[in-house]
Amino acid sequence: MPLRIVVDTETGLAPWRQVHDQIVRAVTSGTLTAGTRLPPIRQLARDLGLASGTVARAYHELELAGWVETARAKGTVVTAQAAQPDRAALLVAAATEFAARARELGADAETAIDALRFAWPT
Amino acid sequence: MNSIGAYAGFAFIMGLVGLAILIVLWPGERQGKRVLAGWGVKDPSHDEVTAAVQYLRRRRFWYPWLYLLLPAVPRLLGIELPDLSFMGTIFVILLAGGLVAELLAQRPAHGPRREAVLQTRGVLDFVPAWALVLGAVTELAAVANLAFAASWPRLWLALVLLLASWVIVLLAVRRPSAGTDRVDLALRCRSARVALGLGIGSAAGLAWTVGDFTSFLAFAVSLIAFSAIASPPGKLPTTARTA
Repeated sequence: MPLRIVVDTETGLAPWRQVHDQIVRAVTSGTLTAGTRLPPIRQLARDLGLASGTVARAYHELELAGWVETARAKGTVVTAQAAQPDRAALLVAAATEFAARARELGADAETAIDALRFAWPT
Repeated sequence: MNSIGAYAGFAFIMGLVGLAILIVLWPGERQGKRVLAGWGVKDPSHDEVTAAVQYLRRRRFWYPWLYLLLPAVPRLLGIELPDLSFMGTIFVILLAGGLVAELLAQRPAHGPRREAVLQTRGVLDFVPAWALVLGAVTELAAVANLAFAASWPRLWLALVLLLASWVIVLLAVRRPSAGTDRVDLALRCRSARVALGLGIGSAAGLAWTVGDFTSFLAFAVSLIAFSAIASPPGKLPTTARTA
């Protein structure tokens, strides 16, 4: 089954970040394997109703973090290095998702951290 | 005053004719299920059938109006077109309707929640290589035949129709996804393959010279190609999207 990317413009999280995080999650979970070709920026932007620059930024950030590489002939592909989970990047992705959800619920940073401490297993 | 009245009467009658055609052609759930079954979607859900019905309606909505309006376009532009057979006219209308529907389907997704499949799309995902080659060969043969016969009005019309059919193929690949993966795949395949087939059929019809056996043979081969390409295969193509 091909992976679906879902963007919700009302979550408060920037669309490029939503695209970025879902691709990172797909790579780390093994849904996207090394060598998998991502769709061209224009195609994904058109399908999601976003500006090309938005998807380009997501791809650029993925490339900077080493999740993907872009070659003229092959397009954007998942790197072999990305197949090995980067725990720090995973933590950042999970934290970003949590922060977005907390903002949705109207919590400030302190309240969100308190909630995290409360939930932390001791 | 009389001429205005006559024109209004003519427009009214034509409008009624268009409406009658639209009612007859208007697809329902049964047609949606049949299209999906033909293009390889077995046991579709209610949402999948709805997507197929919407797809059909977005095409068929245009047919009666195109039937009424298209003949006026060459006259307005001062172009003299060759006479078309009834089937030729139907092919032109189907191509024009498909083109309008695919152009409208290019509108970007709207609403707060949008979805996309993270997979590259190309023409070969929806039209097999043999169909593209067969299409190109039969179309080139028809165009060459018209060029050798110096039948310029027919040649120009054939080129316009072929261009429309290839543009529909490209637009079917380009448009944003709609519905579930398998319905999206099936309906893109249908758009692309039917357009390619209609292009072949139109060009073959224009290139056929009545009374010439070679021309008839080429026409018959083109019709077989049309049927092979545009007929529902009964199964989804094997692409990465269905793997």
